[in-house]
Amino acid sequence: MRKGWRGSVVRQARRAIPIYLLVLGLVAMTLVVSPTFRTEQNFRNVVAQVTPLAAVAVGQTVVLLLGGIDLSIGSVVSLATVILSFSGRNGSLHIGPALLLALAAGALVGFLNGLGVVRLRIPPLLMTLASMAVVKGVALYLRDAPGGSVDRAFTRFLNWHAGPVTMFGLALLVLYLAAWAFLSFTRPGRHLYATGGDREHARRSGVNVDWTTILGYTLAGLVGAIGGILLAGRIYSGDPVIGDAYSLDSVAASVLGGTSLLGGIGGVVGTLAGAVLLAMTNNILNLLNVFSFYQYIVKGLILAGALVLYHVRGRGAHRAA
Amino acid sequence: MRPNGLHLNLNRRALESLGVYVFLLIILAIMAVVSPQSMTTGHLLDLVRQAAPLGVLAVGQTLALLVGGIDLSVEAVITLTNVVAAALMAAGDQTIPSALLFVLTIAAAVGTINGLAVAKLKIPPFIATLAMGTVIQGGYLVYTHGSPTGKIAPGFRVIAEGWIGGLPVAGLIWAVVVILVAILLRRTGFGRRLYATGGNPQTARLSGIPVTRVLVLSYALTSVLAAGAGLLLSAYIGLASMSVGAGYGLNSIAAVVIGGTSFAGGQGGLSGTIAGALVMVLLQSLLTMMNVGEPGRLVMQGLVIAGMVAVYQLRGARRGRARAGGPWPSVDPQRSASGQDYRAGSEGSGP
Repeated sequence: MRKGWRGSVVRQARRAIPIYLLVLGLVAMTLVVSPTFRTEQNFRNVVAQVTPLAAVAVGQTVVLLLGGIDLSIGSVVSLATVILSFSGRNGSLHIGPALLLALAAGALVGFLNGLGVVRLRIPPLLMTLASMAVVKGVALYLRDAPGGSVDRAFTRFLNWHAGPVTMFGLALLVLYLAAWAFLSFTRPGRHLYATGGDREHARRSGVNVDWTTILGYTLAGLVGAIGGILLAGRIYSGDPVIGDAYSLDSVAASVLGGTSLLGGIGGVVGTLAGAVLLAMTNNILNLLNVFSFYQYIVKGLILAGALVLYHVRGRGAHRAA
Repeated sequence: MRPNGLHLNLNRRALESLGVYVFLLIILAIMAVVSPQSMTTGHLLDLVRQAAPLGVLAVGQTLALLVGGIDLSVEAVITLTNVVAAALMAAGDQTIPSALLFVLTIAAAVGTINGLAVAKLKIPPFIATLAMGTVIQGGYLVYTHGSPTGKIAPGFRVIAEGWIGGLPVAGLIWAVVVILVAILLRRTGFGRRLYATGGNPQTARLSGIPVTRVLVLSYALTSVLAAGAGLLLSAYIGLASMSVGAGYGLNSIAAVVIGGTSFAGGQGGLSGTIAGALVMVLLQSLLTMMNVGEPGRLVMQGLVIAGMVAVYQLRGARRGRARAGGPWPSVDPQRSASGQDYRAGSEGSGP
């Protein structure tokens, strides 16, 4: 780690430049090709589609920066939608307690993940794989099939929009600004980077690596719940398995955005573009009438391509230094 | 490897897989109490038959973990094998050999690409195989247009449904696979090189081991064994299904780590994996017997994975503390720098 915070913040942002160029290029190309893409309606659609994944990916990025991974975050998303689905008409919860409960459940899952990784020394992939199963079990216990409804006033609030400005977009903006500020300018945020970069070194320089790790996982669980709450605002109901894909997709979004799986490198600035790229690939291929099954192939190739790119650049940087 | 290292290793490996066998016995004991009538040889052998696909797959996953990687594409390979085999075998028994040859070749190609991506492009195995899985998923969706057709030749279904001399054919296939791979791991130079590469790729490279070739071969074998599991499952269900592989990827990883193979690579073996696969299947069966629903099964599964791994890790840590004396004894600093925690595996850093 080089001197000062500013240097690393700039370096972090610079790492995200290629992915932003890619997204911009893609948008520009589609703007020209597809008239439908230019509509305000489609813009709102894209934002709404991006929102849950982009939100969840913030949590995943935090854990990846620690050198860990969170496979349970998708189940937390499902659980949050299920809890909120008891807040609608004929439901047993008011929206306030439901929101608190969803957030607390997410944070608790994350806390236990962190505890398992730190105290029981279970590798993160396995710890969160185990908690993924447990949380999914709980979500299925609460609601064995999609259903229920979310408080009307709350969904109306989340779906508010004025022109191209939507509540989803604003929520996402606030979440990313908060996460960026936290990671870049606060002591625990810097400790997160240090712990993920070189655990032993961080420990020797006085960072409480155990506490930092637990904090990171707890935040990831909390943010996962926020993603679930936003998703519930889109589907108006609860679904015990809807979040499954978010675990791996959020890893993909973070990695596309330049966050290293080895920990300590990257940040949420790139993650936003990564999530947008993943969600937009679908939207654009749909608008271009590409047979939907090709989307998987395109997604996989984009992911592999981005990794090769980062690796090659990373090696170049090594050589320069 | 320090002098005497191999000998110690073998003993320790045998000891380490003991835990999972104890656990297996406990499950069997509970089973005997819950439903005494299920404890017949026939029923138990039938459970072995049901465990065979996961068992074969877990053998492959063991190779990926031993070489310091992980393979998340096995689930997609299973489904691909199923839909392709069903399409090719639809014409009847005479098409079986060509269909087998074809699906195994595809699998070998998939594994080779996985291995090259990990070894040459230095993509972390987790992401390389995840991306590969996504591409394969797209591949079979395009191939089938979302609604697979065809069926498995009746003659081929023997491998899942047949019994020879009172033993299930699927179980025998599983046993043969285990024996062959065990010989490969324990009695050949390739096996030794695989352990060495998984233990520390840098050291392996420096001591002249062709790390790239070892990685490519290991991943190719993992994919071929995944195709084998796909064939067993296909013979079992008899038709093409898009969801045939669902859950098998993570279950195979769970079976391997429950069996004591280390996530850090280079440590573990097949003896534990056999029991790990049996534990996964018997546990499901036991919970079904006890009328525990899907939610309860998932919760139990999660607790078993976390519990078993915690036991292995804490035991390993106790041993390590005596040697190293640090607060992070289970992670040797050289490896932690390369981020082995989540399977960076063969990451060869350095300019």
